[in-house]
Amino acid sequence: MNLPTVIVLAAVVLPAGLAVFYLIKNRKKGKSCCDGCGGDCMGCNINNK
Amino acid sequence: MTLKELAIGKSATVAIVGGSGSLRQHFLDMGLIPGVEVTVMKLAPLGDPMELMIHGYELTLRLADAEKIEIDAESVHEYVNKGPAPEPLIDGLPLKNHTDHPGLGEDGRYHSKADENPLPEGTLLTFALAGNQNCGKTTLFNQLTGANRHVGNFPGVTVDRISGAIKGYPGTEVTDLPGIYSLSPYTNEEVVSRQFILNEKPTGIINIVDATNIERNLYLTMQLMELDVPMVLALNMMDEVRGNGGHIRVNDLEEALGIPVVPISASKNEGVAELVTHAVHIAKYRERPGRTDFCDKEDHGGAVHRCLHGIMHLIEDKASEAGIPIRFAASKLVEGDSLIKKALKLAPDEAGMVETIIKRMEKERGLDRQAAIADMRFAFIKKLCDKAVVKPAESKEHERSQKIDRLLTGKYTAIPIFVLIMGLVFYLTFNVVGAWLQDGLQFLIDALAGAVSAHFEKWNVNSTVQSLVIDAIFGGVGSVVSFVPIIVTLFFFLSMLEDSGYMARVAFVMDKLLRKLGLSGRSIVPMLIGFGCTVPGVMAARTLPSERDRKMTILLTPFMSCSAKLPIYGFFASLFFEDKAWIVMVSLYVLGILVGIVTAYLFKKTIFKGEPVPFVMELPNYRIPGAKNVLHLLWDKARDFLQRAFTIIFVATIVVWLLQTFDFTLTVVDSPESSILASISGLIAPLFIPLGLSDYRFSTALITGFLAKESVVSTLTVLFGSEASVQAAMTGVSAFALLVFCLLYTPCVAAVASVKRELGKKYALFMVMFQCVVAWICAALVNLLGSMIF
Repeated sequence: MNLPTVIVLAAVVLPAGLAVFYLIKNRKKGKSCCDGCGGDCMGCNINNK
Repeated sequence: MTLKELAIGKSATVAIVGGSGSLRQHFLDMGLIPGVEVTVMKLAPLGDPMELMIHGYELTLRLADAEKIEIDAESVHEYVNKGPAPEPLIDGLPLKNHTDHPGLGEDGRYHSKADENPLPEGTLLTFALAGNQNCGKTTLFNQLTGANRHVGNFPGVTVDRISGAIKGYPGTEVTDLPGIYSLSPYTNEEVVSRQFILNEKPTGIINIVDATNIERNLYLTMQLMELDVPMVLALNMMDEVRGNGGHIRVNDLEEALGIPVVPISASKNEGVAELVTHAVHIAKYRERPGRTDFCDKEDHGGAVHRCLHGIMHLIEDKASEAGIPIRFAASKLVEGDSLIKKALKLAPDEAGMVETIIKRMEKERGLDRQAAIADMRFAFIKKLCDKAVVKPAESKEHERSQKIDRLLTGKYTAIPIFVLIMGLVFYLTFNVVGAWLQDGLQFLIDALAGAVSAHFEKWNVNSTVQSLVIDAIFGGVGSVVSFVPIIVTLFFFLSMLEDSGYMARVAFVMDKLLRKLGLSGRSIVPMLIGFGCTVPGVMAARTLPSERDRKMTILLTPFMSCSAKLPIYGFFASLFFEDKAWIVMVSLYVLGILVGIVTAYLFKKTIFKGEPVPFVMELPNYRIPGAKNVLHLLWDKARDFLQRAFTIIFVATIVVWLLQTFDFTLTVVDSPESSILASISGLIAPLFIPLGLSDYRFSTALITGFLAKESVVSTLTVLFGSEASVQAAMTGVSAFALLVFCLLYTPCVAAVASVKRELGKKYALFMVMFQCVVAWICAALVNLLGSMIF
């Protein structure tokens, strides 16, 4: 695997990992949000009541 | 003679308010009390419901409910717009000459110092922001906190409470409560608001009042004051009152009510700073209202006054034990509020004594208990308004609304115009503005993908990794992102319609039609919101006062095609139907509505037997939508959509790509047929054969669509690799069958979760199963009939 391939792969895997982490974090908080807003939308407000 | 028999343009005096239970209480709370003058303004185009004018505002009522209200036949007369009431003189001078009002730096001038007892430094000051529906509450909340909540010109936009700190006051927290007309538990919103104030005990209440409709708004104010919590009154829309030649003597209001009153214009941010200073002051120094007693000793021999005070003495200990303010407990007990009755835990003999006192009052006053309390409040308000309020001439806004309504709610024009407006919205969104913007964005994404691909070739990047970036990310996520303009454009039009006040008219116009299906006119709003996103649509159903209507509306909302399905429609319509794309789009929307109608009828005859609750709703004046509000909403929608694209859709796309690129030994496959994905999806693929979708890739895409509808397109793009391959794999008929299945099958996981929150696991599961079955039947029918015809 050459260096450009490793860089491109890292550029995909890192944000994907972050996205998974974000989704899991929101799920752990008990949020079933429609928009992945991070908890400040009306849906989250109701769900977290 | 009943109100139903009163002709259009005639006025009469209400004699008896019939009906029973919470509905009757709601009539009374809305100002329909014996002795009040009521005018029939018009009937909805289908002949029902009717629009009434009462206390200077418009209210809708079904004919079946109007039949329960008796009017004095001798009082019937032609409606005359009397214009403003004559201006009262004070000390020989007109009201307008008495305009001094405490401003900044004068805190305390009108504050009750009776039991001032400052809270320790650093205590969090919590405020409840309470007011009638559509009185500018959310606008004020946004001004106070700097938040960007969506504001609508439709009663009941705020369906739940939300909090934030007041700008510049870090030790504060203001909670925006849903709009309510009274503290009677008629709707869920009223219960939420009442429970918040009673249980969470905010340090202060900011009561926002629509100054253009002060009489009805003060009805809630009086009940809030009975809660004996420090309170400040914000007289909103004062600019409109002054602009139309009206005037409110704020000092007199303050003295009469015993609380600070601040004239403001929330939309123009006028007077808000002064309001905050007063609110913080009353909360910090715990200045409770100077009075909570509004009954008149002289009125009908003081019947209501003696009744209320007698009961107050009787239940003093029980109210204190239950933590309910005594005056509030007494008046609610008289009204027959079952929640308060239960909370007070009265002994049988105490309950008997209370009942005897109330019966005595009813006899002396000549009115039943609920009507007597409502009359007591409105009598106080009338006296207060006679002294302190110069009503404006018919406002420019109202006059304009009347003119617009002649067309938009006219007997022969309302429904054609509604169809025309919705058709125009969809045409502009899918064929003109949105489509043009989408083409531009798609061009940019393709150009970027081309440039990246060229660089990858130059750098000799591994071909599998290239496929991951170009096919999966640019192909999958890119195709979904390109739909941002369509979604933003659709929301732009929907928010314009809602902000302008047109949605409330749609509910008015459609009520009779929806009632035939067992729904209320108000159900149209959650359903229209459902065209944007099912989740807020489901939540908007909270404004419906009946459990039955709410459940039915929630279960029907997912049949309204949400905007997340647009990428699917757009993708297939451009591939298979080209210049007929917009017809396909419209037919899908219509089909969703039709299936919804059939389902509603089915529900009405089976699990939800019975009649929808009465349609009592205020029709707001038309307003020009605020650019800031609309832009905030558009930004929110675009941001939310992009967040989804770069989180769940991004991850789902990569997972699908991985599953279709590798086999179970984690070796890159030569053809997708031997991939992990093909093996898994192959199991359920036979189910889709009757739909003309035998290829496993379609069933895979439909499974990912459960995570987010947009994923259907990104998955197909990844799996097929090119649009030509998709065209080769299906016919126009099977493409339409797939679209029908996508339209009707289970909503996404977020929508299912919101239904579970609202109705519980059982209903959520039922909805998923029911919709999948309905979708399969409809799509199979489309494929069968289509194959026979084409």
